[in-house]
Amino acid sequence: MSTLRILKRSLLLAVGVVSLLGCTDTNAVQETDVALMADLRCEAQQLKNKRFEVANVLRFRNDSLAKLDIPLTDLQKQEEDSIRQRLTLRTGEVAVRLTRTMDSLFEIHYKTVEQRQAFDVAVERKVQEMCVSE
Amino acid sequence: MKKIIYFLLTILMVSGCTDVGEIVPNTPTQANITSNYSADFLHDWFKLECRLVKDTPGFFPPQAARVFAYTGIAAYESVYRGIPEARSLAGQINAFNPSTMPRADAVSIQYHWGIVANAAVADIMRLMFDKNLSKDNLTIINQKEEENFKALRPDAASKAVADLSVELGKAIAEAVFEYSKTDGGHESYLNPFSKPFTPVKGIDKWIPTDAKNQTPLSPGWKSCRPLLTANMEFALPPKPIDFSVNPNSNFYKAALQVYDVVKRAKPEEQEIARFWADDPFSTCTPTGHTFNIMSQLLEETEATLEKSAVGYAMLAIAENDAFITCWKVKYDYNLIRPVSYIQKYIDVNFKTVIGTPPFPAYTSGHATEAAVGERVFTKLFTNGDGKYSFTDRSQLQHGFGTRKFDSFMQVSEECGDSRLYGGIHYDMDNQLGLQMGRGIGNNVIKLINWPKNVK
Repeated sequence: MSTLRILKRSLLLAVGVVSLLGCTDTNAVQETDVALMADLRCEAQQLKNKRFEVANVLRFRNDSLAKLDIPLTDLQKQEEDSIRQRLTLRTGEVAVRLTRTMDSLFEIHYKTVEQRQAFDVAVERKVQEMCVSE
Repeated sequence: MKKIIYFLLTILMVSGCTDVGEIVPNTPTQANITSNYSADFLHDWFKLECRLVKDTPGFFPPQAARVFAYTGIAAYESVYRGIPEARSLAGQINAFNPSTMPRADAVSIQYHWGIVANAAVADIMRLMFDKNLSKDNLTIINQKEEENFKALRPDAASKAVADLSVELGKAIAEAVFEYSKTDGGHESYLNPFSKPFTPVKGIDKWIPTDAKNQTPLSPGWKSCRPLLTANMEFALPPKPIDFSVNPNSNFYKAALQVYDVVKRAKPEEQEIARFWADDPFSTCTPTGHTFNIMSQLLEETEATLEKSAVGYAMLAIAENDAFITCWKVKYDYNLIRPVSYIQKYIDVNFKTVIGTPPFPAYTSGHATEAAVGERVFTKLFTNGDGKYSFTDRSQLQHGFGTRKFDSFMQVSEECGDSRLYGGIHYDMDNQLGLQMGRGIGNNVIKLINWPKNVK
């Protein structure tokens, strides 16, 4: 093999390596991270929809009663509080899991603002794909 | 010889009488400055406070603003001695007497500012949520305090210094709590609706908007002591538009605007209304939302304990006073909510996008508190123009998506507008609320002698 050919091959190899390195996306997101976060976001979103649904049922009933000047009975108040408490608890549990997961992912894999934004976009896309309201 | 002994004795007596609080506390040795400390643990505490507000009965927006306020003050008081040129808030904010604060000799003792703040924040949280704090949450506070201590302890100069740091933190929390007891809001979480209370009557006055809350929230809050007296000047905004049921009147038009916005049902506007609602239940109120944004911004900018403590304290004071001034205006005018007016004079079947909170309309608490956030963030994170690109992720935990902003003014204005989109505020409530908040925020920045160039 002539020296020229060896040189040519080495040059090509070097160019290949450099272009590969150049193509490496520093904002790349890991699919497993996206799936994990999307799962949690989906759970939180479904819970949020449930909260608003329940809140609407309660407030429309209360609106109607208020128009007739009828206050809620103690029993109705207790029922309402208990529904709210259950949802608050579930929301709190999901919120803690989601926040912890996000914080640790950010701390380990997505340290820069750009990386986090890329991660947001990927998670949002996944949530849109997989998350159907209950 | 006798003379020498007398001389030495005199010296000893004089130094024994020296008020250690007078040993210029804000000239720390270079090696022990607050900006050398990480603030991760403090950000975690404020995130936990969000959870405590959500879980603990009786913490509605005014009560939540107050608890965040005293936590912020305790955090700052714990670390200011390690900030060059910094001054205590005692002597600077309303009725906070320096003589009530613990003394500390930050020159002779290399306090670990992280340990001081950890102990102070843990204690102030236990004290402020006190009677309604669940066992689970008390355990979480205790565990977090211990875990943080274990993590921070190796960096303390010695065990004795670590113990002294804890002692100082606890003494600061106790002093701040004692100060809080006289502000008029002490234990208000036990009776947030101030029952029994008779709402003011009149055609233009607030009436219950649901059957559960026959009395409005915290009508006496306007009498609470502001942290800066000067902020009460913002509790005197122009009178709301004159009430009228005449379809040609400005008041009718203001209500009709609410009606039209709700009726057009734009999905984007409705999502914005829900995003900023910080309700129904399960969220940590508007103040908690703004504190979550603060934590996110501090983390993203890798703020040290110095900047974090200053930032939380600024926001704390501003949020507290935002709710006192806003509540004063609300109960000075007792203005009828749009839903009550619209159902009576425009469309009996009108329904709002989100629930109407149980208190008068004018001015908007959300707009007021968001605008104080705008001013504080602008001061801390921009060169004064308020331009800053960021993504608000604080509501992901509550099931919402992210929202992107290019300036802090855009944040507060969207928050204000969200109340119109939700059908629960007239536009004037939001616009005047924003003005009040900006004034309060500016006051807090200017009237308190904050450390400069914090890192």
